[in-house]
This record gives sequence, structure tokens and C-alpha cells, in this order.
Amino acid sequence: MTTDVLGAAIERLRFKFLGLLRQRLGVVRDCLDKDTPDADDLETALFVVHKVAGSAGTLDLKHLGDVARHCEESLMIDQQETGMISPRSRAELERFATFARAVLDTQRQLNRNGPTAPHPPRMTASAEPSAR
Amino acid sequence: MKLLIVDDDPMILELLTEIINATTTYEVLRAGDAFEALDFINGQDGGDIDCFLLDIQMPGKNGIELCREIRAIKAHRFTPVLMLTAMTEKKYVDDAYSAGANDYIKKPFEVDEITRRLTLAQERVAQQRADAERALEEVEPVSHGILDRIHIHDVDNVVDYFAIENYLGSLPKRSLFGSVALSLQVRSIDEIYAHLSAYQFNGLIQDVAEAISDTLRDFNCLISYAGYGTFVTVIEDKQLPSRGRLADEVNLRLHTIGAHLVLPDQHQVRVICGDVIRLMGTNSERIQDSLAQSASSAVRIAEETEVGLEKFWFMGQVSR
Repeated sequence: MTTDVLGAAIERLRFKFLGLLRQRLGVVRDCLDKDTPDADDLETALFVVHKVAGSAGTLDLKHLGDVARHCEESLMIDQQETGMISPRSRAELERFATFARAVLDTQRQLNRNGPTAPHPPRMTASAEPSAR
Repeated sequence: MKLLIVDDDPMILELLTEIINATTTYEVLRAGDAFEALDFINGQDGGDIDCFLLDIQMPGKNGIELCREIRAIKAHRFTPVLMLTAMTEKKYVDDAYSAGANDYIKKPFEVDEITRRLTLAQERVAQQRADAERALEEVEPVSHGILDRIHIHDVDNVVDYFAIENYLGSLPKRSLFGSVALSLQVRSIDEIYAHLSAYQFNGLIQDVAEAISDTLRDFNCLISYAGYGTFVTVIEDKQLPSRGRLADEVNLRLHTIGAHLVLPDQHQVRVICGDVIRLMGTNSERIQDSLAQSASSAVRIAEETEVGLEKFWFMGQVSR
């Protein structure tokens, strides 16, 4: 298999990942919309950001991975200390949700503007919104 | 060749499968958790697996527990186990290597990194496996050269020398800089080696490994045999015991387990500590240099001690 074939496979997986990200973003929003998220919500949010942090970077979505990683670290501290989502983690989750939404919007824009291709346009680090 | 990937994230499983299929000749097997992995391993062709890539954080049973179970299976004593994880805290790294992992890849990973680490692990383990198979075929115990890094089995926190290099490269910077290398040298190793059979020498090295492991049981450390009677340990600086006390405790344990009984005239087997070498560099060359510096300081101090003793006895005779 050539590098081109591997590149195409990664493009395909990135497309799949972004589809999953849309679903996962919905899960995070549900947690954030609650007035008092409980321990199960913390577990759910942690699961989502852990998965995103683990694979986003390899799929050329490094900034998204970094934002998810910060969020994960904050939630892990909460898990050890109180078992509840702290205001700090809530802010990190908001940041993650905003950033993930921006990634999805950018991707949709690229898809709309780009040439019709067998795979969605590659989202390079520069095409990805800045994490800061 | 077969490679088993264990991860509860289907995206990672798919991503790794694509990368490994594109860049290696491995046939990829996949498991979504440790239990499914154990079903594979304990199944009919489980012994044919040539490499494992394990996620750490999985529901039910984590990758470190799975690694320990894999190592307990005779067919997989030498099979490369690479941990693939986002967990970078020192505790996870320590636990992974203590459980028998050969390497530790951080998520997110680069495509090239996966293939490079897989190739390295395979090369190193092929050598170990060849040595072990040669040992099994021999009627007499295999005779190792004095410089050979004898593989030590089933001693807590004792890992092979390449794993300790990988371990240091896997540590977060803060933990690496807070650690030191400290080597222990078996004194008069040339004489001991000359007097013992291959079987006895291997047994003695195993005894010393056990004595060091028992002595450092309460410390967060990894131990490796570097050849020539030298054991390199990596230990947290803040936990570092006094070198004299450490050597005394190891020597006492060696006496208690009767390590000296194989030696002519039952001379005591004694170890001595080298200099404390602070780990300052994160790249593999700097890490290798620090470990080598630690080992050579222990050899030098052991030699100086023997020379000092000879002078002492010589002067004693003159004064009489």
C-alpha cells in the first residue's frame, strides 16, 4: 500500500471522526445544559473528551486534541477530588464545545466551497481554527 | 506475523489498522477490550501473536493488568508489548513497564512513530527470543560472556535494558528531571565469573537482582542488568536512599539468601554503589549516556575499592 493510499484512508477516517464529533458534541452540550450535572455526567463528558484527545492529533486536528486534553485533565482532577464537574471544568467543556463547533463549521465550509472529490477536503492545521 | 491491537475506541482501532496495513507486513487482529483480547490470546492461534499494542485506559480491565496477564503466558514472555495511551503521568508509565511493557507510545501518535517503534521492538525481541530458544536447545546451560545482558525473569521491577531506555524516554519531563540513575556493581566480578560455571553465574546474577529488587521494594524504581555484574536502577531523587545503606542492605540480603555458597571458599558476594547521575536530557542519546555514565562509575568505584583493599593488606604486612 502506498503513502497515497494511507493518506486517503486517513482522509476517510477524519471524515468519520468529524461525524462522530458532531454526535459527541451533542452529548457534551446535554451535560452543559444541566443546572447541576452529576457524577454520571462527569463520566460521560470525560469519556467524550478522552476519545477526542486520543485520536484528533493523528487526524491533523492537533488544536482540537489539545483543547480536549486540557478538558480531560481538568475533569480527571474533579473525578479524584469531588466526583462532580467543577466551574473550572465547566469552562473547559464550554471551550471544547465552542472549538469543536468551529471545527465542524470550518469543515462544512470547506466541503461547500471545495471541488467535488471522492474524499472531503483535508483539514490541515492551518485550516483548523486556532485553539487560542 | 500477527499483531493484536486492543483499544476500546473503534476510531483508534481503525486508524491503527490502516497505518499498520500500509506500512508493515503484520496481519492485524483487533479487540475492543481486555476480555476480548484474552479470548484471542487463549484461543487456538493465540500463541502465534507476534506483537501487542495495548491501550491503558479501558473499561473492565485496563491495559496494564492485561499486559501482566500476557507476560504470565509462557509463549508471550518475549513478545513485544507496546502501550499506546494518552495517560502520560509517571504512575502509569511506571506501572506499564513494571508489568512488562517494552515501549510506551503517547496518543496522539504520528504515523511514522508507530512503524518505527514496531520495527525497533521487533528487532530487539527477535534477539532475546533467539537467545532464549538457544538456551532451551542446549543440554548444558548457555554460557554468557561477562559483558552479556543476561535476561532476568520474574523479579519485581527488573526489566530489560532496552525497556529502561524506553521508560526514561516515556517519562514526562518533570518526572525525568526528578529522577536519577544509580548503579550497583558486584565487586570482583572478573574473579567470580572465572570461578563459576554458566549455570552458577546466571543464578548468581538472578540472586543479586532479587536482593536489589527486595531492598528497593518500597521505592518507585526500575532495575536493569547492564552486563559485567552491573545493575542500573532509575529512582526518584527525593526517595533516594543513602548509597552506603543501600549497598549494606543488598549485601545483607545476598548473605541471607546464600549467594556466597557457590563461590570457592564461600567468599561473600558484595555490591557497591556508583555515583548518583542526574538525568538531564530527554533525547535517547543523552539518556543512554547517563545510563552508561552511571554504570561505569559503579565499575570504577568497585575497582578502586579492591585496589584500596589490596594496598591496605599490603601495608598491614609491611608494618608487622
